[in-house]
Amino acid sequence: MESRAYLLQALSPLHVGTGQSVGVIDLPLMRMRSTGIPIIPGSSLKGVLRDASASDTVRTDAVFGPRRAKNGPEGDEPSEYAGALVVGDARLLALPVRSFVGTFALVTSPLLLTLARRDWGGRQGGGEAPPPVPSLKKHRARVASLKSCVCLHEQAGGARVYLEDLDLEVDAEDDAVLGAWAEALQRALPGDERELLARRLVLVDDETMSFLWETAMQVDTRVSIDPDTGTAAKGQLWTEESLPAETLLMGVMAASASWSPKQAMAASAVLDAALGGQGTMLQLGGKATVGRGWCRLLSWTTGDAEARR
Amino acid sequence: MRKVLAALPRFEEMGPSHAGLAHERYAPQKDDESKDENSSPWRGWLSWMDGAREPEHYGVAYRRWRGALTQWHTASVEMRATGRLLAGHGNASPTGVGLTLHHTWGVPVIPGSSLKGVLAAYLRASFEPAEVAEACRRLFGVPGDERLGQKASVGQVLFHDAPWVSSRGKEGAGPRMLARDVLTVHQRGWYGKAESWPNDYESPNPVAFLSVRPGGRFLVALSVAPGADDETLRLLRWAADRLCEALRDWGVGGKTAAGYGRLEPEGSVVINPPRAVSRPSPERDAFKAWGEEQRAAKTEQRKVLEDFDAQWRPKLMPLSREARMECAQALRVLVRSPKLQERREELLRLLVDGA
Repeated sequence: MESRAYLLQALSPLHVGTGQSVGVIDLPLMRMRSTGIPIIPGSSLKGVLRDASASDTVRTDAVFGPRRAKNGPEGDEPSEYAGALVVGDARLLALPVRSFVGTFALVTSPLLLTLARRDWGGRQGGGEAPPPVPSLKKHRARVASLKSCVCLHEQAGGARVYLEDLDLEVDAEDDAVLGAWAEALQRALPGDERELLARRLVLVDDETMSFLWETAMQVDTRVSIDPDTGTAAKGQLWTEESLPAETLLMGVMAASASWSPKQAMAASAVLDAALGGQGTMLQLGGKATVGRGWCRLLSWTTGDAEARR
Repeated sequence: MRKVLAALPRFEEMGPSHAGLAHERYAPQKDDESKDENSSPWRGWLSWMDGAREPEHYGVAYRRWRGALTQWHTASVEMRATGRLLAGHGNASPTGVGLTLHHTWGVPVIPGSSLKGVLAAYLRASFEPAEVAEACRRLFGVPGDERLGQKASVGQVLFHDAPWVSSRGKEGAGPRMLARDVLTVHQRGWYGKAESWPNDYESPNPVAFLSVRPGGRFLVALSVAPGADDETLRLLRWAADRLCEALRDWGVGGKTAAGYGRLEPEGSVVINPPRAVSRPSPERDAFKAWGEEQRAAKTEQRKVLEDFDAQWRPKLMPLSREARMECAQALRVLVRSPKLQERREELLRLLVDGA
């Protein structure tokens, strides 16, 4: 069994929803039950990945599992072999939050980084995963470098960040641990985009973060016009919540060697096949035909941040 | 928080750092009726918003978006607003007139859902229903209906949000994006309480708001998934051309009856075949490295071809089709002699199409 962390970067608003709600927002995002962290279920991602690699059927079946011979209940027979790939849920890692200074900040928190570290294989004690992040005082923020961060406002009492409606005090020293995280995440990105991430990464306490992932999301009002009346069709005025563009999510993929008798593949080859080339575009989640859910799948090159178990 | 933000350095000519946030969360109390331009915070805020420019690093995100579009069959065209543009005017806003801006970057954007809606309305009005029924079914999808035995199907074409085209230079801040605008209500009594018929004796009531400045450019793009057949690509081009017509003649967003929202295409619609992302493949990389060695050593081309047939072809056969195509292209570059061309193509056919 081999596992590898992956990174998903939203390039357009990403709506992976629950389909219904009783709240203010008609179509809310799917979230983790215990913490409320927005997630994309592994099953969504696995289906999209399978579809993207469908041109090479023998290999695809070995990686993702064989197709059913017949649709419906009569096709419910044990398959010859199992798929070699396991896709974990992608969990929010850094949320772009609008800022009065520096346009937006990529905001993360100790909880999100701790969960990400688990995906990274940090439990193995390998040197490659970034170090664990200590928790912060309430309503505080930290940045990797006070000098280069574009979201700070320097004033007499120290630097501050202004995120949406929040005014947070920034600790007066550079956070080396966050710096290590920024550097590790940068390695998954192409060269010209690295600065964008490093200069906007801001760490806030968990309570503030959970407030932000509840309230700082993109919420769009949508309408369908009835051609006969020119007004909203009946029941066709709704609000939907999305993860905004630039959101980073992280998850883990695991693989065993291929079980297929037709195609032998080592576990690492299965992961290579699933992750595809660097920066493969995928369409995830709902509202695809109005441009939602364009994501880029990124991973670290072999040996860079990979854990063998 | 308001006092804190008032202390932020505000460069009138630079505008807010995030136009969307400033528009939604930082408007002072409205006083359209104040006479004094200089002392009114509301007027000051409007002219500050008027100076909003493209933020730093947006160009990086825009180039990344253009790159992302090339991985699918995409019909794209840059369009220039010939007049003002106002999308999302129904959204809640301190000016009373909403404005759609990109959530993360704060630049103007035309939602893909608007473009899809405009095209649907344009096709409905410009063609006989029977003429475009099939095209509409494939473009927009249909809901299923059990009574009619109709199967639901999804639209095949993706209407992307049309983002602001980045034009920020190295040191310059780029052009201004938003402009102060005004609409004037002449019969407030009639719209409000309606106790009397509208008349000409009421004072006009100007309402200030913001709209997108004329001359703003947007990247309009429609996509279909890789692997589409020619028929679907023809549909894609047809849809893109009709959308251009609709945006030119009808406009998009609000107040189109007053001439808002007209967009003129700059150049014609371009459809590029999808560019596959290079997948990691050790055998392919080894073959390419071998090719480079042969080239450096100036090995005889006939020998290269023989070695390829004997050593490499069996090794490359199990690779994915994309990887084999790449290897084939590498060999074509390597072996160029006209005499060997026939033999080379024969071997490559075996490699790519399978024995």
